[in-house]
Amino acid sequence: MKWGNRHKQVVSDVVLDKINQHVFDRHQLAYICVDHSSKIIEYSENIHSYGFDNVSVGTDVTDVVDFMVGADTRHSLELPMMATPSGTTVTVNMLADDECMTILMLDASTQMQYRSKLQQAANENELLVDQQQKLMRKLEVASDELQQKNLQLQEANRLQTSFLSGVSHEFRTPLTSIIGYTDLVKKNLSASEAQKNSSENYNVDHLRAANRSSKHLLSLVENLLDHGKLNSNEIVVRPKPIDLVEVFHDVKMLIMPLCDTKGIELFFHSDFQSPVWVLIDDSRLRQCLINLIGNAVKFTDRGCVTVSASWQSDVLEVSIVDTGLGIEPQDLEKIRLPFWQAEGTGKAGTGLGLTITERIIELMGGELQINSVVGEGTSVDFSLSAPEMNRVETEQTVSIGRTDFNILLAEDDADIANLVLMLLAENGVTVSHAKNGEIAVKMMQENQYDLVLMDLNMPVMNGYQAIKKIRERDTATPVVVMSASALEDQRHPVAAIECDAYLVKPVDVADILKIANDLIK
Amino acid sequence: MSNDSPQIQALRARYRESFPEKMAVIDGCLENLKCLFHEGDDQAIKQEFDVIHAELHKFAGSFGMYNYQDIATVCRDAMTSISSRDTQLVLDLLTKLSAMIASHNVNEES
Repeated sequence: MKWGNRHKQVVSDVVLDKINQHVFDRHQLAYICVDHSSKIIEYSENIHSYGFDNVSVGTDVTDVVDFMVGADTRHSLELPMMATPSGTTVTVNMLADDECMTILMLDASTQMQYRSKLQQAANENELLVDQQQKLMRKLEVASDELQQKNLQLQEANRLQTSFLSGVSHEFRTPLTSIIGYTDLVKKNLSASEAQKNSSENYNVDHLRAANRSSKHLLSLVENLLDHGKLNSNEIVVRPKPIDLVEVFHDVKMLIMPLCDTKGIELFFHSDFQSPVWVLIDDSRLRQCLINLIGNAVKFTDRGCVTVSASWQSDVLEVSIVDTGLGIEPQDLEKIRLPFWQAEGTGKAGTGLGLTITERIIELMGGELQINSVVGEGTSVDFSLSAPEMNRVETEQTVSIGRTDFNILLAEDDADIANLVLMLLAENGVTVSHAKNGEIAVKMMQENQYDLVLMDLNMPVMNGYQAIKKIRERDTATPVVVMSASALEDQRHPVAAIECDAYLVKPVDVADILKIANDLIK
Repeated sequence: MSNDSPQIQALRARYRESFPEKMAVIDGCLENLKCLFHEGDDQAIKQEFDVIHAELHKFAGSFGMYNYQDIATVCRDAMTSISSRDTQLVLDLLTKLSAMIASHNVNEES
């Protein structure tokens, strides 16, 4: 529908009037009309509500409205938010035409408040951002410091471990010597002293005391060494066939004198009497038993220590119960920490025995449990996998894997070579022998082998040189080094050995076969 | 209890028969080192250490392989002493080593 003139007239007369009324009423629109000599011609009644009290027709507008001072009435202008005498913020539009200027004022309070709120929110936001940035910077600094401290701690830990290992090693060597010589002298003295009367047997007794003290010192030192190995994950568990009855008998004989000295009883109970052959690391088992039973005896001044052992369904369970001092509940977890010792007990030691024992038991697939009542005593329990050896013997040939390998053994020591050759051959391995590195390199060039076992210290050409030569032509054949020393003890630079595995003598044929199965594809 | 085959047992027996020879090597090293120690010739001692270290390294390997762990351990301890240049301790350990081999030799013969 097109808008005709009649419709425009209706809009103009009716609708606009209503719009005008709405705007005036709702938005407090006020106006002053002035001629081009700035005299007021007309104004709205509500102009007075904005504080312009002296507005009247004929008055010079610059006398009553201060923002009109200097204004050109022939040019339209829009002013930003202005404050009126009543304190109200208004927007001002000055509309000029040929005849007059109309000054429109519209209440902008709400708009002003909104802008203030926006501004405040923006300010607060900026403040928050600033605070956040400061916190982030502090966090970065703290994180850097923490990282530094962590590195320092790691270094301190490494130095401590290295120091302990180094010192312990130095102690162990002469101690071993002392023990060995006192053993020898004791043996010789015992034979000759047996003929004399008891009052002259003090030499043997003194020697026994020196020997016991040395062995005790050695066990402390070896605990320190083991602690270092714990930290570098070097403790290895090597299961082998052992007789449980013999192990427990040996431990009992070792601990009994300590109990006799203290005047406490030592009881051993087990559900196995005749030899029981199981697959377990006997030296580690002994170490755990000696540490735990030794601890029980140490902390028991009266009463008894009872050791109970049970072997069923390939599991060895051991319980050690004492009638000693007991452990405070809050200390039950702390005693497992290295070097921690309860205060006021007056008991000697390094505080490492339990830490090491627990770790060894974990490595052997078990778990250590400790329960205690202060003043009544403590019980320590653990269980370990101890498969029966007869069944394991058969299963081992299956678990070793393949043995149909063709191996080259480079070893200059005839005794070792003969033994390894024979042991491997008995397991179905085809073995060739080279008695020095030069021969080994030549044999590698002329033949195909699945694996090379290489000794390092050989005449003519040593193992390092031989491996280097082999690797110039063959990077595929696995090379396993066998040496009498651990890598870190070698006197020659070893950083560049391109070997696939390193075995320290004495080496089990099972170790060789396991590595062969792992390396030979 | 031995699970060794007769051939391995024979090897072990032959190894035991070599003990006097090994003792002779150790005693020889001991005497040489004692002389050099008294003379105070550091350079010569260093060279002798190299020789002894090589022998001990072989012994540590073979004694260990043939289940004489106690002797192998003393060999390693002596090697460590050589690394730390403690001549007196090396002498003590070589003496001990000789005694241990002799002791095993006597025990196993009887």
